[in-house]
Amino acid sequence: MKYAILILLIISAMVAIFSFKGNRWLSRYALSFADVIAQQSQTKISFGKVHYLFPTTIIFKNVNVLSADGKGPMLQASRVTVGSFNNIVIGDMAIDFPVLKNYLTLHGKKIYAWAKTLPQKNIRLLVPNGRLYPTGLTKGNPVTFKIDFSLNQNYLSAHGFWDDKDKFNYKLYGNIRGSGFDLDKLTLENGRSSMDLWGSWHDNNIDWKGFIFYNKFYILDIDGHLKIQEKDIVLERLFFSVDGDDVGIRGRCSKQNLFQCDADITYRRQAQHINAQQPLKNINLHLHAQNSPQGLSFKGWADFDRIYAGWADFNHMHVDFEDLKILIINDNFLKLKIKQMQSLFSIHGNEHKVLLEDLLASIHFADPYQKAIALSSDMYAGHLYGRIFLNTSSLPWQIKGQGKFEEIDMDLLSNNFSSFKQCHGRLSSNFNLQVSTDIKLTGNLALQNGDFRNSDFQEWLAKILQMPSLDHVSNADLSSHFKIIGKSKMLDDLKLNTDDFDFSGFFHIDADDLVSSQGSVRFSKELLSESPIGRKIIGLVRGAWTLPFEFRLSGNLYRMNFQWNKSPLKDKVRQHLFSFFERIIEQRMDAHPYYNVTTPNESVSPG
Amino acid sequence: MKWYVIILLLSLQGCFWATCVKASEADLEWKEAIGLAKQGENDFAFMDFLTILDDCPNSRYCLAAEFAQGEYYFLQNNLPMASDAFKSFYAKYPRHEEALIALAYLFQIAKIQKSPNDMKEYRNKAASFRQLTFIFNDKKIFKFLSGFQRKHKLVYYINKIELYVNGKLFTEIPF
Repeated sequence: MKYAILILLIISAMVAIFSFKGNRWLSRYALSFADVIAQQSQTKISFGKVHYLFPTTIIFKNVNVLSADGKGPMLQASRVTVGSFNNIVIGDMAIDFPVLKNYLTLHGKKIYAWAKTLPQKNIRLLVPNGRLYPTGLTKGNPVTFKIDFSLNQNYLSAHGFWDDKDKFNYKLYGNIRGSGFDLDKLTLENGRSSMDLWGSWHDNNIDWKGFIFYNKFYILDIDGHLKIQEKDIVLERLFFSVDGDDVGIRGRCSKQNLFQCDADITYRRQAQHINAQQPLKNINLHLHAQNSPQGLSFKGWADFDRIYAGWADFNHMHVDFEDLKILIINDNFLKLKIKQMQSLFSIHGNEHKVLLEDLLASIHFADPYQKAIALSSDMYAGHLYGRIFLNTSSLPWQIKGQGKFEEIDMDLLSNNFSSFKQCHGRLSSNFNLQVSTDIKLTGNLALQNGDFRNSDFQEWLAKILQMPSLDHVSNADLSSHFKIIGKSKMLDDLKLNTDDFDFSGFFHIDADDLVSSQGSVRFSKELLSESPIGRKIIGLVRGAWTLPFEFRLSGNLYRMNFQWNKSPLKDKVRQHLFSFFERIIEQRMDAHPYYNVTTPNESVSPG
Repeated sequence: MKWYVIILLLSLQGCFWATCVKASEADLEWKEAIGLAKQGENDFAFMDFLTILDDCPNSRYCLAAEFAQGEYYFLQNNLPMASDAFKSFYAKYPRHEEALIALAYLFQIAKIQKSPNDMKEYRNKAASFRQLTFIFNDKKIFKFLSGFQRKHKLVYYINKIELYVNGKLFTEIPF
C-alpha cells in the first residue's frame, strides 16, 4: 500500500512537472503554430493565455482573428479548447459579418485550396453560443447560433440553431464521396415552418429535391438541377408546386459576375384554383440582370393570363420593363427604380398601352403580410403619385391606395386609349382605390382647355339635337367626381363649360352597360340657331337661349333613350304649340314610329 | 308560240288560285280559333293556331298564332313550355313590337321562377330593344290583341317598360 501511494505521488509529480514544463514551452510553440495557420489562411491570430491540460487538451483564451489586411477583428472567442487536436470547442464566439464577408471575398479561393491540402481526420467542432453581428461587432443586435459539427470518416453531420428574431433549428447529414458530396438530409424548422432537402453535388452537377411547409403554404415536389460550367452557372431546372400550382425556373449566371444572369420563371395555376375571385391563370416572367458600375439593374417582361375577365376586364396583360434597380435600404425597406415600364392590355377587345417613365417605388414590409408602397412616375407628359397598402394575409389580397395624376396630356393618352381619341387638353385627377374581390375606385377629375372632336357621344348628340357644331367642342373645362365599382361607372357633379354651352349633370353606367343620366344644358344663341327645332324655339320663346334645356338619358349605352324633361323652357314652348304639332315633332324625332301598330283586323284577322 | 303563252298564263293562274285557297283556309282557321278562344275553348283554339302554323306557314296570321302558343302554355301555367315558345317567338320576330311583349312574358316567367340571371338577361334585351326619343310625351304606347283575345298594352317610358294585359299591370321592367 505504501508503495502504491509512493508510485501515485511520483506519477502526480511527473504530471505536474510535465504540465508545468508543457505550459512554459506551449506558449512559444502555440504562437509559432498560430503564425503558420495565419500565414496560410491570410489572417492574424492572437490570444491571451494558453493552458495545457494533461494529457491532450490545450486551452486558448481571448482569441482574436483578424484579416491579414483587416482593420478590426473578424472573429473573437473568450475560450477555444482543443482536445486531442481534433475536438474543438469555441466559447463565446463573436463574428463581425461585414469583415468576414470581405475576407472571404478576397481570400475565399486560397483558403479553400489550402483546406483541401489538410490531412483528412475525424474532427468535431462545437460552437455552443455563437453571435454574428450583421452590421459590425457590437453594432445592433447579433444573430445567435449554435454549431455542432462532426466529420467521422467520410460521414458529416451538423446541427444547431440560428436565431434571428425567428429561431430555426437545423440538421445536416451527408457523405463525402471523392470530390463530391451526397446530402442525405438537410432540415430547417422553426415550429411554424419546416424544410427538408436532399440531393448531391458531384463534379459540376448539383441536384436536389425536397419539400417546404412555410406558414400556410405547401411547397412540394422540389426538383432542381444546377450545372457549373466553365464560364457560367446554369440552373437547368427548378420545379416545385405551391399549393398544387406549378412553378418552373430556368436560368444562368456568369461565374465572373454572379449578378449577370438571365432567368425564366413560369407559374401555372391548376384549373380548380381558378375562379371569378382568383382569375389568374398563368404568369410568365423573363428577367435579365446586369451588374454595372451604376449598380445591379434588371430588364425583362412579364405576362399575366386570366381565365375570367373579372373586375379589371382584361384576359391578358404584358408588362415590359427596362433598367429596374433594387435598392435594399434595410430588412424592411427597399426601393425600386424603373426607367421605363410599359403595360399592354385589352379591355372590351380594345388594346391599351400605359407607359410609365422614371418610376420610383418605395416598399415597406415591416409586417410580413402588410406592404406599403409609395409610387412616383412620369406619365403622358404629366406625373403620377400614389400610395398603395397591400394586405397579403389572406386570399384575395386586399389592396388600398390613394393617388393623383397631374397634367396628363390627353393627346398622348389618346394614342393608347381609343375612348379619348381626338380629345386634347390637360387632365388632373386624384383617386382612392380599394381592391379585393372587386374594384372600387373613387375620385375627382378635372380637364382644362379641353378639345373634343367627333367622339361617338358628340356625334350622337349632334345628330339628335341637329346641331352640327357639337361635333367639335373647344376651350372646354370639365370637372367631375367619378366612381368605379366593379363594372359600374359613375360620373357625378359633371360640369362642362365651353364657349358655346354649359352642361351640368350626372352619368351612370351599370355593369350591364345600362345608362342612367340626367343633365341640364344651356346653349349659346348661335348654337341653338343651328338646329331647326332650336330656331323654332327661339321664335316661340323670347330669350330661349338663357333658359336651360333639361334632359334625361336611359337604356343601353349604345342605344340610349332621350327625354326632354319638364322645365320652364319646355313649358313655354308647349304654350305655343298645338298638341297635333307636338306629335308631328315627336314622330319626326323618333326614328321608329310605332303608334297604334296593330295585328290584322278582328273581323278577318285579330286586333 | 301562242300555245306557250296560254299554257304559261294558265300555270300562273293556277299558282294564284292555290295561294288564294290557302289564304282563305287561313282566314277560316283564324276565325274559328279566335271564336273558340272567345268561348273559352282554349285547347281547341290552340289546335287551330297550330294548324295555321302547319298548313299556312306564310300566312299573315303566323305571328299571332305563334305568339298564341306561348300565351296558351302561360295560361296553362306550363312555364317551361311557355318560356321555350316565347324564346322561339323572340328569335323569329326580333324586330316586331310583339317580340318585346314576348320578352316581358319571359321576364315575368323568370321572376316567378326566381331566376335573377334570366331576369337580368331579359331586362337588358328589353332596354336595348329600341332607341326612343321623348320630346313632349313621356311615354309611348303599343297595343296588341292576342290570339286568345287578351288586350296587351305596352307602355314605354325612358327608363322602364310596363305591360298591361286586359287593363291590369302584368309586369314592369325597370332599367
